[in-house]
Amino acid sequence: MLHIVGVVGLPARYGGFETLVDRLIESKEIVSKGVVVYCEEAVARESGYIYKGAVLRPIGWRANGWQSVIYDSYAMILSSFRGGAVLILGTSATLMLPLLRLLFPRVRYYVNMGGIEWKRAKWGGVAKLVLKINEWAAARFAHVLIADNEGLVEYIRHQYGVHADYIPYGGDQLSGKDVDDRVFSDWSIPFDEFDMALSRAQVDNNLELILDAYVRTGRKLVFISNWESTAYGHDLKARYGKHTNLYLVGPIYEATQVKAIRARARLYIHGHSAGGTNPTLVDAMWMGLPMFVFDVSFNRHTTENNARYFSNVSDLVTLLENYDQAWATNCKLALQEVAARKFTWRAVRSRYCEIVQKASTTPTVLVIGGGKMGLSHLAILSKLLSREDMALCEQSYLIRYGYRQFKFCTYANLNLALNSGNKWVAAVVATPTMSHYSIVKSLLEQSIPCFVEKPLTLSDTKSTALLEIQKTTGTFAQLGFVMRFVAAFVKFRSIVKSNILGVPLSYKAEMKGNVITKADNNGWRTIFAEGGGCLNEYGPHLIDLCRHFFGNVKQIESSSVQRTFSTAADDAVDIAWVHSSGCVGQLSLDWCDASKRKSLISFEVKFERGIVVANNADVSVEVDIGVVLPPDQHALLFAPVLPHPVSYYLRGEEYTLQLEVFLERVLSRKIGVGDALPAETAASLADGLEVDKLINEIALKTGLA
Amino acid sequence: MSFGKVIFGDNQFLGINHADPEKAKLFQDRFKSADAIIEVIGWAYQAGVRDFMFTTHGRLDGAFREILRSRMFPEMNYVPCLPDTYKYANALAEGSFVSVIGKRLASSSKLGVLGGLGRAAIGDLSGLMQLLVEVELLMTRGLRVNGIFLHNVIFDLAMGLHATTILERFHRYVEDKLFAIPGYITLNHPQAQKVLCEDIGIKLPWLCSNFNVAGFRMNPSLHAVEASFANGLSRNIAMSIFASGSLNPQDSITYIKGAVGVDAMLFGSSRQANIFANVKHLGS
Repeated sequence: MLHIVGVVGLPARYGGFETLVDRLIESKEIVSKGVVVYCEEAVARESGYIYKGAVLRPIGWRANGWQSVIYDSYAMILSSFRGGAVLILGTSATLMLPLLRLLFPRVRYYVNMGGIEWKRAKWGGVAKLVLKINEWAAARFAHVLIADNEGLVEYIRHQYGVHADYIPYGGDQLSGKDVDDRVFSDWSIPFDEFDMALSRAQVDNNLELILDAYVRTGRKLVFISNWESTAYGHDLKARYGKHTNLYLVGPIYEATQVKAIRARARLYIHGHSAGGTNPTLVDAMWMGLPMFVFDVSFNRHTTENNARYFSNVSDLVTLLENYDQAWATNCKLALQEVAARKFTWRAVRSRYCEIVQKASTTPTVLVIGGGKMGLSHLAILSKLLSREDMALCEQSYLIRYGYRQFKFCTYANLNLALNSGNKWVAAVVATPTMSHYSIVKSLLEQSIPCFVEKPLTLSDTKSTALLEIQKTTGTFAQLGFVMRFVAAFVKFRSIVKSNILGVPLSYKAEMKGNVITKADNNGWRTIFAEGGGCLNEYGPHLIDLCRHFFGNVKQIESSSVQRTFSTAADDAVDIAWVHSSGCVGQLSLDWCDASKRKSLISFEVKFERGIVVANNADVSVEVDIGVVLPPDQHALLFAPVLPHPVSYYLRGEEYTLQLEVFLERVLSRKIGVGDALPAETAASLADGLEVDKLINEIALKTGLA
Repeated sequence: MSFGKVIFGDNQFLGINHADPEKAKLFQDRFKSADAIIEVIGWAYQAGVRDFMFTTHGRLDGAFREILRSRMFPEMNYVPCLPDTYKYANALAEGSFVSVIGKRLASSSKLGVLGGLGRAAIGDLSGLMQLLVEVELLMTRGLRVNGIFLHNVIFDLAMGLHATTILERFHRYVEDKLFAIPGYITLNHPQAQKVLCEDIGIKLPWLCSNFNVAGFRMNPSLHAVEASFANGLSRNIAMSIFASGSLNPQDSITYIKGAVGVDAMLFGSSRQANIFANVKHLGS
């Protein structure tokens, strides 16, 4: 359901927003979703409470003047109760938005700014302040901000640092319509050789400036306005009505009559100073009228600098005195070209449909944990998918507040997210390992595919239980053993599996880095039982890679730990084991190596027919003397290691690749940009369980557990 | 304001080599002293390079102080890339993050710090960006700072988080208050163009991105990055042109010389002969 707030009523007779709504509801795509337009009571009644398939809901207040604040507020509240999407035209009551968003978190609010209302000359100091606050609230709290002029988009960006979607008005509604020449006799207007202007009788439309200039030049001007509706208009008509070259007519609401005047006018004068795109200006451009336009950025954007511009009476007088036909012909052609390119209702409707569709997207992928890993996963995922697809679950209010500044949907805990009504197609678990079991259990029980940061849990019993639930529910889950996706290790594994150098006989593997470089016994990182320590931090990566390359471990021969700075955890671990294949491995982990800029994994492997050294960046191969390789095998061994391209790079290709593979599996569509990686590159829960078992065994042997 | 055709980089001083961790380790040891760093910058200056782009790493502090004291390289322009993320990561690991920041804030402009903190306190996170710039630029005091670049770790993260306000504020702050060229290092060149030019509306931003014959770290593809370099929407500095030394230099130079949209080239080297040869070939 789409609710439209901020117009007087339908059919359009009263201004730009009404015309916009009138044209929007001509779209079957929009009306088929159900449209409610909130109107003044009398207008709704006159139209029979239904118009072009849209329901006209009456509001018992006036849509203009001071009552407009109540009128719009009431309509916004009513529409929020009914749910769906609310298109708010104008910002007279957008101060309500923070409260409404709090009370109705599932309703989507779109605001079309209209223009910079607070700058209008007709408002006094207090009114200007209130309108400015309304504008701020719209920029800050609307789900989508729409501006009808590129100048307004720039203003919003500059003022509030917020992106507004640019959707102009159409102006082609009159093309094909007949003209009604009776207007000339009805209002005693000359049939030719006149200029024209058209605007509401408001100070910011510069009526007095225009009238002054025409009094001075003596040229004939037909000026259509609602002269009697405002004191300002009334006063102007009284003062200028006596001039014989001025025809102050109107109001004229019949489009065919206005078109008749436009069709015979030789020049159009546009005095609007408040943006954005003024529909009357667009209409005149469509009609092919040369024009003199008040010089503000909005008008220049609309006309793409193809008109002539004035800022005061003398400017306009000069322009009028220097009017020439050659310029007028060029101007009219250029403006018609701009109008046909930019201002068609078909394009406007389709942009609105697109935006409503996009903003109606509810998040489908949940990142749990907003720490370092969660931040990185969320940033990558929001580029692989979109920000609207993502939501974050994080306990800390401050962290949630930070993410909300970037317009991410957030939840304070997993239950809230799971009970939000959103259909979660995937979840990423990036919390400390201690909490993995309960979170992954909840996700698997609800059959939500999940990506879990390593290690799986801190106990092989719990990991086994998770595996059981996964088997029962048949839910996909991937473990975050990211090192498998490093290009050098992908290549190294392909060398191992190719058997070109024979079977691996023995290897030394190490992972060293500078995570802990001084004594610090605060926090879980240095408490083994809480998931801290080098074995828990580095162990999963290196142990998983050893299994990934050389298969299951048959037996741990020996293991020892050293403590450099930590007292409740290990800082370095040495392990010797043998794989089921008979391959013998020696592993060394050290997270206190200050000589390393960042953690580095390296393997030195003795094969039957050579030695291979691999690290995070490269693979080097030494083939035994006398071994002759066919060209294809030689190429495989000695090809340079080039990282896989990724659709969005952050931190390292491997971090994006693991998420691309996960999403491709979950969404069943192509996400990555490079060649497919071997299917077994992604680790499963079973891999996680095996690694957890080995870590537990090492911990038991070394007295850590 | 602009940059010369060839810009000298500092990866070698920080022990960074994307293709060879062992070589990186050697660099890290060799450039522990300020003199060793100054000597290499001097070779680049002698070869005709007038722009030095560097990460705001503490290691360069000593070298800069000496350069200022001895009034060396008078025509050199300095282009800091910030932040040095490892500095903060290490501070975090050691639990002394607050003391690291506090120490630095104490020596930066008090008004700037207050303004930044105030804005951050009312939820305008771009205040934090201003603080970061303030803090990170301390080491460049007295130097001729021509441009200020955001490091890819922060810039690519900000793009991922759709933090366009922060990026726009950074751009305006550098341009209007620091009178330098704002720039962005990225490993997602086409995306960066979209975010900066379309979403934020910046005209012709300076982007520094991998550009090499092998397509090394050119995301999402070599073809896409070539196209976005060539489309004229941004001014581009090509980096990793030799892919950390893993590519044939001649092929790399031929490729880059024939490429469209490369406004400047960034390279780092620790060998005098290489520096002279590269400047000669790239700058000609």
